[in-house]
Amino acid sequence: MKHYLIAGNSTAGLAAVRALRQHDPRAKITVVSAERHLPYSRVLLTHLIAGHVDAGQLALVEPSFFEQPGLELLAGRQVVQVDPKAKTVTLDDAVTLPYDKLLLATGAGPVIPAGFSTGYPQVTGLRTLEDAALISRHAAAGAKIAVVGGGPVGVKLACALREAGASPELIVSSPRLLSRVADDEAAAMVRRHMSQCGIRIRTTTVIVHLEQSRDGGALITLSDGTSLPCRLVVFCKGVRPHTSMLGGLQPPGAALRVDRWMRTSFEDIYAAGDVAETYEISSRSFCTAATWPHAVEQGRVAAMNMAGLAMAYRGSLNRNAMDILGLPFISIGLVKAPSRGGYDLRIQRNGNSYRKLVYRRGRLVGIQLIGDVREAGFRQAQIRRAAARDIEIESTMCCEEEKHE
Amino acid sequence: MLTTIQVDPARCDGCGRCTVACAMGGAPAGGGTGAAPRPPRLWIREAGTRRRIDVCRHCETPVCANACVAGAISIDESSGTVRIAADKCVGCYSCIMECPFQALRFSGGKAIKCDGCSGLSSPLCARFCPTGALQAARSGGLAPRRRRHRAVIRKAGP
Amino acid sequence: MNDKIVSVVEDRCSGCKQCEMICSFVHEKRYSPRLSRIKVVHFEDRGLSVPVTCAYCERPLCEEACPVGAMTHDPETGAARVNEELCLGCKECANACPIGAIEMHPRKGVALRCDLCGGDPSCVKYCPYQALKFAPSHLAVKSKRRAQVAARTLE
Repeated sequence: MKHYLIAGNSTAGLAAVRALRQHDPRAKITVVSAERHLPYSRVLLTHLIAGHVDAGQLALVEPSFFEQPGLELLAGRQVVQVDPKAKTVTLDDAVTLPYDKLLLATGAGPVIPAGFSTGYPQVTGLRTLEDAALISRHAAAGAKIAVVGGGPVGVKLACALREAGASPELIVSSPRLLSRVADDEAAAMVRRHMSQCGIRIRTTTVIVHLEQSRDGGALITLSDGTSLPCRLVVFCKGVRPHTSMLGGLQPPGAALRVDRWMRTSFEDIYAAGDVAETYEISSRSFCTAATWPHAVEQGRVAAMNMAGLAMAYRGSLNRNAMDILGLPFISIGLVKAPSRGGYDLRIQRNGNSYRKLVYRRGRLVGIQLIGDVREAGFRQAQIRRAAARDIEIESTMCCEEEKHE
Repeated sequence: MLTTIQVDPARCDGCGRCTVACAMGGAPAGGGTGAAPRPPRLWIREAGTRRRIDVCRHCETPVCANACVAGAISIDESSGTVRIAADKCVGCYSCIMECPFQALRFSGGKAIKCDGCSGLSSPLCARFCPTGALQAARSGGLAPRRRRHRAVIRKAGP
Repeated sequence: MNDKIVSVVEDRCSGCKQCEMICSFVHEKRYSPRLSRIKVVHFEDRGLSVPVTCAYCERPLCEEACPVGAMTHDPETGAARVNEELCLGCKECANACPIGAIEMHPRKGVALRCDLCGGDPSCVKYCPYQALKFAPSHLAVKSKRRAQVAARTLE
């Protein structure tokens, strides 16, 4: 009877548990969860702040889920060390546990500039329920809150704060919003819409100085010279994977690269979710696709392979879907076509709606939709079919070169 | 026992009876018919030279369910159908971004899709389709088995 | 599209289902007709049994029906494939197959399709009555014509 150990109980870890139960019903599963909460959706945190859902709706399972026979949950504990040779993990309370197969689904933490990560109660990221609760408290008082980062999380948070009655200031280092996931025109439409909804947006701007003010808030100085007093500063500048349990075996802050079978370079150790680095089919490179559907799929596929079913991962595909204060937004694949030739753009504009399809050598490689988001799923399937025909997803033991002893 | 909707767009003449049947008599989650008309859960779409019927195939590995950030979409064990729990849906468009059949649409701030006519013996759309473009069948053996029988009878003769 | 396929030699099938057993075993490591890519059709009233498997259509409707490109075939050998990582289990292929040769794996939720066992089909090898043969399709038809003509001329 196999013993599976899953480090991490969020999106990827939960998907793995479900798949393991389905494909190996008799196995013993131990889940180690740093957070004490039942697994919840991190993506719903902005919806919680906005008031679309209440805290009770965030949990992804009933409490009875972890009372299944053969499933053991160690909550509020962390894996601090992994010994791939001995096939054991050590927890933060010094307990050592053996495993037959280990899944690292430890996720990632928000990137907060050095110097502000501790000792500044006015500074936070947005990853956990606690972060969301802190933000909600300030939002309820209608406070001025600085949101740093123009990516999907920053944009969604700024919108949520507006809906909650707070006064958000969105500070973006790039010349425009959503610089990685939207093209120029879509980004401009989003900015226009958000500004019309009363969100203050500053692009090409960074924080050059932050100090705590006497009233418990913060005073930030921006690169354009402005001084901004605010109650809270939320950094939405990406995440750094939690891989410290591998110690010297893994460069710090580097995601765990996995092959098609979700295997890391360590035998019997798999990785899934925000901690993992997978092959992305539109950019044809390895990267961390830190979004919800990727974590679910990777957790499920990792579990199937751990259970002995050879099921390859179909590859990540960069994509984002969100509602921006009533403006639907979807982008999939390569939406910012390079200025080099070979790309063909088909654009439809209709009032508040903008639809762009990007073709490369006759094959669909990206789609940007604002307003009218019909056919998004159909187009995703088209992009995947085109990519599968163009490239061979190497069953890369990319990790062969990096095999650790 | 898993249900499948067999879709043959080549037979569809665009009459739209399926969408009317769905709108007028579709059973809300929890069973029961005769509810007030509601938006249909399937759509006939002209896509260039082809006609498509956008309706849920109740996939065995539903990408919509995997993509739902609120855990609102799941497979109902007894019927094998894929269902949205509307009270959990936050209208984020994630499922609409996934479904290759465009079987989910946005309505009233939430995603809607075919729920397999829970509580009814056969899905309404298939029941009212005059051309056989939509047929309901139990998967896992019956429909393919019938076809195998027919294929052999054609070969073996009377 | 393919050179050699699994075809049925008339009147030899006893309905023993050894083909189903060996097919499921070779592919799934279990003896389970539910997991077999070849299925025997029975007509009790006539005492007739006929195995049915992928006919390797010149125009594979299953491949056309698949929305995600999971149904493919090897360009060199012609052997049919299911890219399980892409398969959603939508059953479009199973519904499109005119002879019902495709069913879904009950646990993995992916399509089951005859892959000719890499060029040496097990069902053909293990059939105790030699009711299956692995031969070029045009020759299969030719030998049937011969048998028919011989049966008539030798009356």
